[in-house]
Formats: sequence, structure tokens, C-alpha cells
Amino acid sequence: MRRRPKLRSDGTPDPGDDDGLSVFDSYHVNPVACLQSGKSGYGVASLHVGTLRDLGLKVVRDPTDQRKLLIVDLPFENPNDAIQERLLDAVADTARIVCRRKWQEPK
Amino acid sequence: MNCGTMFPTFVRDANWTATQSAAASYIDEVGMAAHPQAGAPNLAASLSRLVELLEENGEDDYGQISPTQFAFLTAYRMVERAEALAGPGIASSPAVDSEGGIRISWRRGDRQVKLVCPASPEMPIYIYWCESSTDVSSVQNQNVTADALAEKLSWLTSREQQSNRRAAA
Repeated sequence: MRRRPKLRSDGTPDPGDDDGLSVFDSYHVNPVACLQSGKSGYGVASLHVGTLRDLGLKVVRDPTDQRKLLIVDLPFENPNDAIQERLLDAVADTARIVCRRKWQEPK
Repeated sequence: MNCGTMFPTFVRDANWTATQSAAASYIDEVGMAAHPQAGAPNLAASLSRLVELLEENGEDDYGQISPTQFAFLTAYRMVERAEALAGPGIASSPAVDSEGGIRISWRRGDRQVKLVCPASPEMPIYIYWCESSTDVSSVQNQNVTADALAEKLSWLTSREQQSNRRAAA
């Protein structure tokens, strides 16, 4: 699910995932590198670009980071719409768990 | 990005105590502990899973990792009453969204029910349900009550109960 754009508490804009859900491209980044790029997480899951496109979603290269792809029109979270909820379910059903483990970068 | 400074520390317990710093070992550990208490009544398991969401605080890269008070109270009251009304069924699976809202799902066969409790009262609460074999899906975003949720949870298992009755007869 994409995060909606919003205003932070200090009044600055947070774009959320307005340009699409950003995911690593497995041709460029392996699961360990995925983990090293974030502050915390619960694991790594994989999605197949062709399957996403079969679902009608648009997947493009992230112009700001060539290691990443953007799922441009994935529904925002909590869409309050049955069709978009079904699309989110369909995407989740195609995801494959690569590895599970809760972790957090030291503070 | 400097991977040296971003190297994750793995966490083994609910208090996020750092115990290991080797990324390679991450791959060796496949399979998160399946914690919910086996054999416990579904309502108790559902409520226990909700309470577990409170054990974590703060934000991660995606957003909030703990629910807001509004989301938690809404979800707890709805689940407690609806699962009690619906009778023996299926324990729910809750998750926190990036704003601190809670999404709860129940699945049985090709049927699914979700309760979406937003982070704050300004955002809509709704129930979503679908049956993949018949391509039926819908959202109820008016009069979202525990009774309405109980009705959907009963629907989730109704086909199974009918077939059990037929088999018994």
C-alpha cells in the first residue's frame, strides 16, 4: 500500500509514496543489501514485475535511484473502496516471502 | 548510501534488544515465531494479538509502528464484541498502517473480512469483505458497528456450517 502525502507536524510536506511505491530491483540489489538500506523491518518479500503488470499496474524505473522501481498506481493505504482493496489483496497474494526477521538499526 | 552506518542489528525479542549484527545470519533465520497461543479461544487470541501491537513504539522507514490510542480502542471494542456475537470462528490478524491506524483481517477459504480502523476519527472506518470464487466484494463505510462486523464474521463461516449440517443430516 502507498502512503498518502501529508503535512508533518512542523508544517513541511511529506510526499509519502505519491510518485509510487518504491521497491528494490532484485537485479541490482540482493536481500541483504535491502536490509542494510533501511532502519528497521520485518523481512523481505519479492514481487514479480510481469505479474504486477498483468494486474494492470504500472511499474517504472525510479528516476532518482536506478536500483529501484516504482509501482506507480498501487492503491493508497485504506482506500475505502472495494475494487482497490481487491487490487491490494491481489498484489499481496502474489508476494513471496524471501526471509522473515524483525530487526532494527542501532540508535 | 554508506552501508557501514546503516548496518542493521537483528532483534530477537519483543523489546527490540540488539543481540546480533551480522547481516548474513539474517538469511539463515527463515520463519518468524508463530506466537499466538495454540488451542486458545479465538477471541482471546484476537485480543492478545491486538495488545501485542502496543509493545512497539515510534516510527520506522514506513511510518508509525505502534497504533494510536483511537485506533487501538476502536479496534479492541469492535473485535471484542463482534467475535463474541459471531461465536466460534477465526482469530484475527491485525497490522498497523503508516499513520497508526489498525487493519484487521479474518480469512476462511476464499472468503475474507477486513476491519479498517483509522488512526484518527477524521478518517473513515470501514468493513471490507470479499469472496474470490464468486468475484463478490464490497465495502461498508456507514453504520460500522460491532453488530455489522459480527454479521460479516458469521458470513465468513456460514458456508462451512451449512456443509457441516448437511453432512450430519
